[in-house]
Amino acid sequence: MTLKPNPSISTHFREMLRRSDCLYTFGNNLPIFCKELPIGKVGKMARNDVVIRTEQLSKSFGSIQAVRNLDLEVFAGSRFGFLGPNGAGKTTTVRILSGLLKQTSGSATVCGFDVRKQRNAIKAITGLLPESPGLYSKLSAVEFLEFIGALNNLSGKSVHRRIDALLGMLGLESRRNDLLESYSSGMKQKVLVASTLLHEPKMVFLDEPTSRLDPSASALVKDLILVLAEETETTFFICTHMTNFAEDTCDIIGILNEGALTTLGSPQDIIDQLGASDLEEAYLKIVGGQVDREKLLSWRD
Amino acid sequence: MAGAWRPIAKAEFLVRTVKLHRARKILYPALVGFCLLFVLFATPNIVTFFLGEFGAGLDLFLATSLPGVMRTIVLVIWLAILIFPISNSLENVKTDQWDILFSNNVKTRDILLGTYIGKLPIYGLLGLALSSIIVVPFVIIYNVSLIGQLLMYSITILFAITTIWLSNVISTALHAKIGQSPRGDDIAKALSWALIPIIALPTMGAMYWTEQVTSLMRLEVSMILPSTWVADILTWIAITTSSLPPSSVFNLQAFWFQVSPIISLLLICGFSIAIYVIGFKSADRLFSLGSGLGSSRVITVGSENIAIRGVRRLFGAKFGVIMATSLKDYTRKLQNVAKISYAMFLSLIIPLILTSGPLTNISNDPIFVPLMTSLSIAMMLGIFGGVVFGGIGLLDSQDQLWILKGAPHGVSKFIAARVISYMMLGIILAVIPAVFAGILLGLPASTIVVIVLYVYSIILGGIFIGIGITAFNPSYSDSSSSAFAINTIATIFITMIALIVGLIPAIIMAIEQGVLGPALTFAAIPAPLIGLIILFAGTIKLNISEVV
Repeated sequence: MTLKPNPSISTHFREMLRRSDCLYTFGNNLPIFCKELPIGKVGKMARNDVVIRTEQLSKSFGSIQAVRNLDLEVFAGSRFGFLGPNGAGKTTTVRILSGLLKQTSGSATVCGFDVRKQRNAIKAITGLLPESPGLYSKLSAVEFLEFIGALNNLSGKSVHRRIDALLGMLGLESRRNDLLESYSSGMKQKVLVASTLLHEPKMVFLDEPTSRLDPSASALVKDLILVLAEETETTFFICTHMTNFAEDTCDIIGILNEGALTTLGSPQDIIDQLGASDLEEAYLKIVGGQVDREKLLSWRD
Repeated sequence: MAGAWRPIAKAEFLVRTVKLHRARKILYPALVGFCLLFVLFATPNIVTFFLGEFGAGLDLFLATSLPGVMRTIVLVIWLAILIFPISNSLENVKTDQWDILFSNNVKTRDILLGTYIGKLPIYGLLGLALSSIIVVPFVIIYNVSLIGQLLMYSITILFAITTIWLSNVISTALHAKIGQSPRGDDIAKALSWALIPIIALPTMGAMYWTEQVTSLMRLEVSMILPSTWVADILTWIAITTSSLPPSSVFNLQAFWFQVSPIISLLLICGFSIAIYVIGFKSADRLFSLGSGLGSSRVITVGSENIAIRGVRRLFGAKFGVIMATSLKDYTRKLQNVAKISYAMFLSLIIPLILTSGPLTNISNDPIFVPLMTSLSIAMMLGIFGGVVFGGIGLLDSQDQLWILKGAPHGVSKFIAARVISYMMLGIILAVIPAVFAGILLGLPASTIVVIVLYVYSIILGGIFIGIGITAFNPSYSDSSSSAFAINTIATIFITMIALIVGLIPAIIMAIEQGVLGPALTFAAIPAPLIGLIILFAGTIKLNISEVV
């Protein structure tokens, strides 16, 4: 299955990316604003280089085993979809890989950095879109993004140009100076997407990126991911429940159930192997969840 | 749906008694029993003890001025029963439950009645406990008969539950007007703080200027207050069922009652009926959700003011942005402005108490007065510094914490910016009350400077302690959480300890050697030092914390 972004939207994005003045440099050049960050040590990640490698990665919270013996490899420039039911351990995995949580056992590296020992180095080269928006209600979108830029050691006119470009791209230009408290949940999600991409991470973790977005905004985020992955070799690690979104956006899918990785492959391979018509059906066959009609009405007795 | 108020009342009761949880069936009756014990045994003993301690002078004062004192006490208690539930409910504006109720075909008056009945078991107990404080002094001083006591308790409890109804109606109206939104939440929390001085002012008046307030309550204007009507009815019942001689009864009535107690009784009955009728009649209007205050206006930020631009320049391009963000985020929240204003209000009251309250007669002492002023203001603002700047002012949500943790050294940079921005706000909080006190007390400029520096150091101590403890155990924006309660108690306790550690040697030094400057300098050291230790420990804990 060949994944291609919508041509008209992707042309628009490409143009916006070029106009945004050093928002995502192309080719072999490392971005100049990352001099202070350990990104310099990362070097150019060629496609097929492994950017995420986990070996027997496990995480427990007391008696609850959130992630069990996860062995995973994700390649540079890929769009890895991490699917699984609620509580499967997706968010915990993302938090370990982005340096926010420490694993209980096993090991993992992100862009060559050890998740246990080099957390700040990982944070400098990755972007994380959290599951729910933790925005500052009393800041405007511009002020919030400026704050995120400063936390990532970015400042000056180049940041403002990036902020303008990202907000324009996400359709928030006219609301850029309004306090975030007046934003709808979809608009907040867009601001978070912008904050995740602002410091041009080489590796982006997206936790339910479209859960609050309407279909057109979801399509926009999907195209943004496809264009960024294609043009800048940014790697995306996407946690989602949306099987349609994952099928359209991701080139590799991993399905996690009760903390363990049960399936790994391209969407089409998974569909073919399970004899399903689409990824949703394949997903339901793997994790369960199909209920017969009689049971659905049993509560009325 | 007929009778829908019952499940609503039950749900409200379960919410109000959630802390009793599964042992509710045992613990609630135990709470009622404890309350009755308090009313029947504890209050009479406590009041008798205090009357004995103050001696015959107080007895005489109360025997002649009790009706006036009672008007003041009933006013304070009435305001407490009226305002506390409103203030409490504004901490958490929730109107989305109304949608569920309306979608189940529930009438608005059923919601109003149900929430009221559901609140009564808890607030009613509060009313009963407070009513004993009103009734017992009468009983002891006027030797009121048993029937008189029962009548007095009936009147106070009826008045208390009528007030709870009024409080319920007002808080419902405010919830509908403000609406559930991030901005609405901020407005409501600010309002909940703004309401507190309504109780604090008469309470402080009753404590520090009892005679003046009692005289004030004799003015005819006090007759517009329902609390005055109730106080007069209580006085009337007390003196007519007491063992006082008829001449004393006549004198008290002639001196205090502008109108006949019968008229007061009619007024309070009319008032009670009117507020129940108005509440029910306006139920539809009360629950009409429009675009609340919180969502009716979109605020667009303008260009930065000179202070924020100055902060940016002072702290450089990157950290300056984080500093500016911290200041904007904190000062744009109405609830924070309300808390700082309240702290300022209380600290401005202190010098007024010192100059015209019970300490008036020692106001010429050159060491004692500035020492007392410094200590009182510092104690107030040190505690407030911790509660106002720590607590829910630090982090809005766990998701916000994740964002900070997602950046390299994000938490440390954020905490540093928060601390420095609060230290800047603390300057205003220290200077205004200290200078006001200095001018009011006629202190020399050098003494005022010493007081300002001492107060500021204690505020810093409070800020460090408050932020450190909140970083240790984040309570986010939930002021009803147990984390918030624990943090607040811990902040107050540690700040007090840090204050006392410096205070005792400082007082001894000031009294024995007659030196204010060195004494206050010595007293200023422990609080910021202890605070810094807690702040560093809290920041490290927040950095390594693994919250899911």
